[in-house]
Amino acid sequence: MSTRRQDDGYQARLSLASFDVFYRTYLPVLMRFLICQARDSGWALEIAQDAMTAACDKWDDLLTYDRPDSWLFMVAIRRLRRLEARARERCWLSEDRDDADDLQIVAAIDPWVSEQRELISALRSLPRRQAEVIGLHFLAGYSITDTATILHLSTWAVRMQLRRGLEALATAKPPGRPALTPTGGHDVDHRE
Amino acid sequence: MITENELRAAAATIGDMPAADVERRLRQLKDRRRACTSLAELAHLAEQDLAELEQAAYHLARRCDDEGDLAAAARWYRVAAANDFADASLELAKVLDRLAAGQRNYPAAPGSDRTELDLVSDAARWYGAAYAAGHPESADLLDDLIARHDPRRARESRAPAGHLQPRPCDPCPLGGLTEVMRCQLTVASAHVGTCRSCQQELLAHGGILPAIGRNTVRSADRPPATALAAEPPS
Repeated sequence: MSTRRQDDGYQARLSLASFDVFYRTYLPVLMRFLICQARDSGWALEIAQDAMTAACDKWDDLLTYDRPDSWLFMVAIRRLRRLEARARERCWLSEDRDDADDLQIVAAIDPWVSEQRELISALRSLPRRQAEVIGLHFLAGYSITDTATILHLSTWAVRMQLRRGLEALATAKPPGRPALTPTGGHDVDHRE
Repeated sequence: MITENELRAAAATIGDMPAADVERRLRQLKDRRRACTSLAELAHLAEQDLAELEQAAYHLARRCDDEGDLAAAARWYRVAAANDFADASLELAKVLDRLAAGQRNYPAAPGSDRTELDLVSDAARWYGAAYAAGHPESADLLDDLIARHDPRRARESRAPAGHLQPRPCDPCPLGGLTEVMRCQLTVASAHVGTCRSCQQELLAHGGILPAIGRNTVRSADRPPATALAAEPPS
């Protein structure tokens, strides 16, 4: 992976000497990011814990990476998309699913979800890649380059998906359908 | 309507979670790891290996694609696309599209029509998957694919159905189609049914050939089953 450590000062800089610190820092972000992506919040919570378990299993190895958190998000997203692909094959996952009930349950135990219900619904209504790049770039705070590494896309593709996603969000209709091809331009924050 | 500012506001608080809640989840994770059987641990490791396999398949597909081995590229892209990896579904659809185009250019192979149809429907399916994943350009590519392989459209590389390929033939013993059309209709029909030179001349004028059966050829006195529909050449 391209995010392997380049120098020996890494641990001191990030203060991620123990897995517990890593967990406390990244679990809330990962869990809420996944809630914005998954059609089922139960899956999001489960996958977040699974990804953290995988990180714990290979923690010694992860400490040699520049960004162990990038690896964590990559594992979680791939697991989610793999499961969703299987669910679509078996028609267990509908693109038109109304997630109001699902969010209501999570909102009762998570105040952030309660506050951001409209945003979560809008992100869930986007096509998957657009929701991923917007979630990683804006919510989880990854640069365009890091987002491209996590999603295994080119930086050009990430910029394109960001632009399309922001345009779709700006004209967001009630959730349920992927947005059609957008028109016009939109400024995107190009953090590298 | 969601703006960038709203996204940034949501991002500002996304990491805030009550400490007790985080600690509870951390305890759950540790309990689960302690209770994990060796079989469950192996299942976890297999799951991680699978994720690496997707990536390896994708890279292999790209290499095969670059080297022009489209069949192998399709096979490996399919492994990655089945797990919704990156843009594998779009790349798979493009490769299948090119394979279908290849079948179209070599129609003589037995079963090529069926193979082409299978490739086109498979490509269409994956263009649809790519569109749903967030690649809107696949809609245009799908339109192009359908337009190129529409069976109602005449194929450039093949002769239109019901027509003969022009090929060298002997000159007409009666002096050509113009002379033949001056004869009685039944005689003219019988002659055109057997004379390749007149047939080609007739087709060039947009006419339809009479049914070429044993009766037509042998019974010159009897009118053919299909009458000549062509206008007399000018």
